[in-house]
Amino acid sequence: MSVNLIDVIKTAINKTVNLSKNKVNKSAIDKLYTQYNLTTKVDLGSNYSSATTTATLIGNYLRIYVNATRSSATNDGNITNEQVCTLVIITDKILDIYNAAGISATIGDLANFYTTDCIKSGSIITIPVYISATAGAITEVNFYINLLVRLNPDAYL
Amino acid sequence: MALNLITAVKTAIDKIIKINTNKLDVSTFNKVFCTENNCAYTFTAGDSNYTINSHSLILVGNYVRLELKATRSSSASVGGSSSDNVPIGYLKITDDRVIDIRASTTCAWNTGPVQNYLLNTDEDNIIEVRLCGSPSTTHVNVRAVIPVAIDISKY
Repeated sequence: MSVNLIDVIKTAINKTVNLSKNKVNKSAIDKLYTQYNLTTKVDLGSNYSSATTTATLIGNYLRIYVNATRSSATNDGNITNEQVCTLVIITDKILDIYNAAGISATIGDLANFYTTDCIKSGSIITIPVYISATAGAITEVNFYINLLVRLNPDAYL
Repeated sequence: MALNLITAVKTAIDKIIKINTNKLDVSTFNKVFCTENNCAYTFTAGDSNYTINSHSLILVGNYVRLELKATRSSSASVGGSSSDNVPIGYLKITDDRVIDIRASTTCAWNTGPVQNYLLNTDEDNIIEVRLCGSPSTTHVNVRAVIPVAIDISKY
């Protein structure tokens, strides 16, 4: 009888352990919905004199905020595909990044922005940011771009 | 006494199994949030002013990402006009992992003129891609990330 009991318990416990092995911990979900402020470094484009940026990661979304000052005002609509800056972000949480486009946030200004040729090398992500077009004279460049990212499971599980 | 003990152990174990069965698999977590999933869809051309050059759709996490390149047969009017405010095309997501879609807006990339787009959804979850504002241009380059609800059990 006691041998049977031990066998039953052993089998049941093994079954439970095997099930648990392949399950996501609550902490992974908590991490997924936590906002991470990522450290950024900015290399300015040739027509820009200063810039501040922030980058935050929540789930599969990397939100980049850029506030840059152009050395001289653009004229109405005469800027196309001008590089504002290149952002460098170091994180182990992102596996891959997808380029995106965004619009200006400064009241009164109208401009479109985009990222292209984002490079991920080890934990270093390089993101070139461009103005695609302006529809007004702009000196202060101010915008958010939301980038879709693929997450690194090793940083979450 | 031994039988009572077995029953108690079984009940406890069943309870633990039930809890674990309802938890997310590691492989599912990887597929949903860490993998670029091809998303089944169809894209139908809209107004005859547009020629659709290329399109693609991927699914990552709670988002689909659309890339669309099209050409207008004639330039849009500066500032847009009612005759320009026509659908570029219609995206229908046929992937059973995507169960609901939200409308979104985006803007042009790498084209020159300022262009903004509306990605509207109807009751059948068909996304209508429409140019909502533009100066004179013939090229349409859209990169849009659209929030979606997903069915985890389908991964």
